Amino acid sequence: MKNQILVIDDEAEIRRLLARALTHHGYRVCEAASGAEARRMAKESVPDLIICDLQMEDTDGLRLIEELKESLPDTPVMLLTGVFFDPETIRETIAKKVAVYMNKTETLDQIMREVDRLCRS
Amino acid sequence: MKDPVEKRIIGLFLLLLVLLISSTVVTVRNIQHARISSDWVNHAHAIISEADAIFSSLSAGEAALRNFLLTGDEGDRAAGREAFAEAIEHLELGKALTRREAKPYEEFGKIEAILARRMDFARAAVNARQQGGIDAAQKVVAADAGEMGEIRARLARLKDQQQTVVRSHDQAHYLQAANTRWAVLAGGVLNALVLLFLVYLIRDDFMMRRRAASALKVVNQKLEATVQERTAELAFANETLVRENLEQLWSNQALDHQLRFHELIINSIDDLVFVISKALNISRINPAVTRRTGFESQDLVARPLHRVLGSDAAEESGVWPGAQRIESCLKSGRDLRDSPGILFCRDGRKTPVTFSVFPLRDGDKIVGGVMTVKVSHLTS
Repeated sequence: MKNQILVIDDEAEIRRLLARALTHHGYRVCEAASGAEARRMAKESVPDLIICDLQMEDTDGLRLIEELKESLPDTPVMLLTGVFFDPETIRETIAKKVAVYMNKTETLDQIMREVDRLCRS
Repeated sequence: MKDPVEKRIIGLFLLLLVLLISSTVVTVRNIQHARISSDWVNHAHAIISEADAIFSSLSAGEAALRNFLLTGDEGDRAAGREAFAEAIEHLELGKALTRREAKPYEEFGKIEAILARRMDFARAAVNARQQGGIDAAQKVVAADAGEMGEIRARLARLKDQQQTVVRSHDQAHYLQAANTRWAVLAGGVLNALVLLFLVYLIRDDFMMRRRAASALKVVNQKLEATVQERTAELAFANETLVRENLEQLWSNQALDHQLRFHELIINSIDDLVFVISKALNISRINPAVTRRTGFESQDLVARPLHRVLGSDAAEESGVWPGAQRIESCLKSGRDLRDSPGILFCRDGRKTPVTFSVFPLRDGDKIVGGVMTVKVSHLTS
């Protein structure tokens, strides 16, 4: 059975592009454009992996991850962002048990490799 | 053009047909001849039978006559009459049978004449016996010419002739039967040979077709393998293209993201930022320029820098030393920091400022410069 991945990003173009790449790679994908939508979908679909943007308009990515981890403690989370991580953010991601953080400037190939690794584990 | 094997098969079928027809014609002809021979034989036997019957009846008639002459018994006379009548009847039959054959017919004619004489003799003898008794009859008998021998001889000759005919037709019949047998046998053997050859040709043809089918199958398998290989290649190429396309789109969005972010950074700076060319024309400004000077982007972009930045001295003399320092900075690649100048606003206000210029490099090449302008503390 294919792994289910929840993609959370308020930028529609990035979210759809990522969903398309994941589908092509053989995964089932559900998308959320906001924190509220993400909470609802996490309950409904119980994903095997969450890919979440750091900065969204209606919510902070790290806070959202903290909430989702309460209901899905075993689901790994990949944090994706367009800005560079500062040390404070890195500390916070570790504390919130984010499995991996990646920049949107990295290639899709690298991102897919990390996705594969997280889904296998 | 027909297949050569096909031509051969058609040719053989035609040959087979010819042989069959020939065999049939020969056989039928022989059978017809045999029938004719058989008819002749029957005909000859019929004539011989009639000849025998004539002599037999005649002999019976003669015997009855003699008895009557001796005994005077009417019964013998009647028997004799009947026998002679029978002889005549058989003679008539014999003549009818031989009416188309000259010699036998002639022979029967002669026998008829003799028979007529015999019957005259018989009548005379009977009359003599009835009228004069046995003595008169004896006188008549004594005068008998004795023609029975001649009749016998003629009948024997006739029979011989017919026997000869029978023998010759029997021989012909035998030969025809033999011919028929050989014709049928030869036809059968030839047909069998032709059929065998046909079987060989057809088998040969079947083998050729099987080989061709087998070769075709091999070619088809190779073709299928090639097609599968090619399909796999195309699928792989397609997969690669899709991945590359996605990667390209992702890179584009990352780039857009970066550009937006950089723009945000530039736009959030409160200092005035100008991007200038080596010819000291303005390429870009940040929103702080508009806020401070009142000039919009379209008022300044592609315009000379001195439109918005200069000095009071430059206004009077037309020469601005600052411009020379900026040109030198862009030429040498050394930064120019905190140089004094006057900012000209749209509404005519002039503001003292300090500016710095940083050469803009693309690789090793200086393509322009980035100028930051700070408003002096006393007047900000």
